[in-house]
Amino acid sequence: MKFENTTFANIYSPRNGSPIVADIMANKNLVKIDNHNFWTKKFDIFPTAAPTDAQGNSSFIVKLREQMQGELMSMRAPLSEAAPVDAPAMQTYTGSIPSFAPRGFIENATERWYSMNAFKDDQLTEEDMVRNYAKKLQFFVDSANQTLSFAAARILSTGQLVYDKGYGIKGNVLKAPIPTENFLNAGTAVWTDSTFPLLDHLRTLVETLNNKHGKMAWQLEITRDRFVSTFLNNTQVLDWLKLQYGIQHSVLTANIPNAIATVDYAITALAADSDLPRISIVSEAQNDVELGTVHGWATNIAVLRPMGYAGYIMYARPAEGVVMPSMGARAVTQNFTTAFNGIGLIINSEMDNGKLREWHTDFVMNAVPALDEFVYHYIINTGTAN
Amino acid sequence: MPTNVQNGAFLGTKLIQETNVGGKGRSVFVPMKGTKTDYEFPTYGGDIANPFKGKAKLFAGDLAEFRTNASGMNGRYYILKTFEVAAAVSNTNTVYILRDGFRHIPFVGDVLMVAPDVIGGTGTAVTVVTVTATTTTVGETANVPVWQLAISANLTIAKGAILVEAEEAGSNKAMVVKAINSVAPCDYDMLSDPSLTFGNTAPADTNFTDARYFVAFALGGLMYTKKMSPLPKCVLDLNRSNVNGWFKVNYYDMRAIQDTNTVKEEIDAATVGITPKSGASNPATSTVGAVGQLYINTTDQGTFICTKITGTTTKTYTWKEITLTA
Repeated sequence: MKFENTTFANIYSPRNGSPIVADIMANKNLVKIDNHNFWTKKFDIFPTAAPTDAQGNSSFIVKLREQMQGELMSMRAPLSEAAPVDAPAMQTYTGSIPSFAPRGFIENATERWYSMNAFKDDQLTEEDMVRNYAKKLQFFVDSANQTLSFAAARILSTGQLVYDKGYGIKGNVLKAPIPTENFLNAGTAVWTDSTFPLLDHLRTLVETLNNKHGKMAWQLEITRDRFVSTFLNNTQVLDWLKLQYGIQHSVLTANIPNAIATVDYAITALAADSDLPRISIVSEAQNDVELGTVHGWATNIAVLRPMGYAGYIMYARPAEGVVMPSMGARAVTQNFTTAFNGIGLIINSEMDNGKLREWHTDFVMNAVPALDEFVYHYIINTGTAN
Repeated sequence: MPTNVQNGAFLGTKLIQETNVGGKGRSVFVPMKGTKTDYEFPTYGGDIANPFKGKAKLFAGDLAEFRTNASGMNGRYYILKTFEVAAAVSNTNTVYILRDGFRHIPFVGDVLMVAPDVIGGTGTAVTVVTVTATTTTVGETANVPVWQLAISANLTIAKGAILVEAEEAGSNKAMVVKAINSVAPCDYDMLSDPSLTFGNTAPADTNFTDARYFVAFALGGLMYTKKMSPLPKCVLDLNRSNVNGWFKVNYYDMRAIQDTNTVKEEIDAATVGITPKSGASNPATSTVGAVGQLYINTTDQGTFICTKITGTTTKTYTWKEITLTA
């Protein structure tokens, strides 16, 4: 088979490339889409893309997912009318959708010539080449997942997204209108204080919030490190667990508290108490090109919020998908494949470089997570006492 | 009652009028029939670090500095705002700059200086205190539209001088733009209040509501100078075009965009060691040279070589005579 006829060479074809890329993306053996998927557990993808206006603004509007609290009924006489309910405030906020791109891949003509020779001599098979290309797509998908997970963790744990990672623009992106009173301190003592009555504190907190907002199922999101250093180090919790299961204190406080099994065991036990919020362990870490491993969620932060999704991933069409198909230079051939649940765009390009050609593979994504439960979103600094 | 109303409904009739002139433009780019490579865009683009402080417009062909970190990443744009002085003023705190639809707009709080001799150079910078749209007589022409600026200190400025942005007010302050390596490929209407703190880390930027402008300008361009925003001499000196009246920002040799004085200094520094010195007598320990440099006694043709330089503030130069044998 000629190199030019291989699946790999056709990936860059403006006519045939996109379906091949879509096939590779859909093949779970080639591209895994659920690495670094912290964000998928916290946010749903908004059903439609946000439009981009003439001033370059892809903006979205988020309405508060509001719940109305019931009340005790009024005792009435026959045929009397009921009093009307006052209209609630319609809380919304708008924001703009930023655009992101991971690093891209460039194959120059000499590198492709090398591949062609390797292919000719059977050192490189068509399958190898497709797998190598799929690695690029995997890099894109992992990068998109990490970026959304970082943004999700930042917004959930701080109420705002300050994007200060990567090689590009750094700065404030958006802030959810979480009321000031929703930023709480730990309580009478920091949560790592083993004598702090953590369970009593949480029960009281949930009761207060239920009285304020109406009864809801609450969840406490906390990092694994902080769960171990607070719950699994807390006398009241350990006593409660011992009482529940008759287990030995030493089992939980020996050198194994960080074991996943121990954490899961404790969470399951705590969940049995219906007055406590469900505990959700936050597990997220990302890779920054300059800083190495980073976390969007600071260790000392716990978030108390209603069960379920915290909001939507708002997204818009990247400019490349609009400009390049209709106005791209003829010397550059490109194909575009929508990927990653419609949020991202894979761009394969082929262009001149001096007297030779080269091939680019890039990914762009215009997306940002937005909270829609911001009034019910409580951010607790577990490391600072009241 | 809800506050901070940004959207809603009005169930009546509203009369409102806005006047807008759009579409008029100058063809600033020099046309070429062949393939041009001006629309090359930089890695990841950048935010405008010095946006106009109110509603204003950046024009196609306007120049900017794309400033990156040591890795060549995390770029920000510093746009070159230029304001042409309409009438000479002497030791006064009122300045008139020309005003029409094709000029940059000054705002209260802008820090301006007469453009220095070299890009990024220093000068006396003042803060704009008030901005008033008015008219004045320029030469023999009456009613020329101008911006009347009240400035924070007295200046003497010649007619036609170009004001540019400075980093801060005071004497001996630096110009904001340090290099020219980017060209706005089209007009940019900036119609929102800008965030002036974007990217700040200490103290952290807390502004999430004002506009943050992200752009990717072209890395090169060839423009008719006359149709561009007025350029100060320090920018005109960087012109890479050999055609009179055309201004070229080169894509491939942006590194060469530097003032000629710097080039001369670099050449002098590079050649100092290979250019022989000479004098009517033998070199002394105070005779300045570079290690390896030759010295020729023009009286007796003796040849010396600098072998060592010692000392920090007062340097001592060791010269040894070279004896050549056939």
